[in-house]
Amino acid sequence: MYSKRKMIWYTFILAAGIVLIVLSCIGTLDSFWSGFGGGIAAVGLVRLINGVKYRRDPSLAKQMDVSQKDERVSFIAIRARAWAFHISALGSAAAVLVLKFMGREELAMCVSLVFCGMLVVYSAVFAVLQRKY
Amino acid sequence: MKNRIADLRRENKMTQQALAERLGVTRQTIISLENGRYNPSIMLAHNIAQAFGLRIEDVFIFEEE
Repeated sequence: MYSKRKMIWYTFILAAGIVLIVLSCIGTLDSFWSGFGGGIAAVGLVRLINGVKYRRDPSLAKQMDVSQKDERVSFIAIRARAWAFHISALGSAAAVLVLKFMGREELAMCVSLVFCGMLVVYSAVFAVLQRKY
Repeated sequence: MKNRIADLRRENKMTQQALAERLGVTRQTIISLENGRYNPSIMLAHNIAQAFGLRIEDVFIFEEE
């Protein structure tokens, strides 16, 4: 689960995040990048800490491996992703209507494009999975 | 789907944790299976039945609606 290659990748993510924060602080990059860098540095740091714990404690490692492969956890994750897409799609559609009523034409257009993009991706993935299974 | 997992586990003097380790799942999955909140895949159902030395239909009670 936390192979050497992954640990190197997480270290790289942490380093990249720190670099972005520093560059933003010295004024080379704008503040957006400090937030982005902070986010990816946090992810890298958490993953690295978990990786170190995984490598040092075999019983914890076994527990983490079982949790990752557990079919109920996978089932819940798949259902959660499906619900998240469903809610996001409906939310986007509602947002388009609200923005139109508010007279925010450009924003409504952007959100409607995102909504259409989500439907296109869903249709394509459905077609692929239908052929596969 | 109803099942006899809890009864069979007690008959075999196994804890939920021990059964979970034997099947390679989490203890929470065993709890959900026993409560009937989660239906296992065919592979897990087969492994559960094998763990008790029984057939799938002896462990899981299929009731037609």
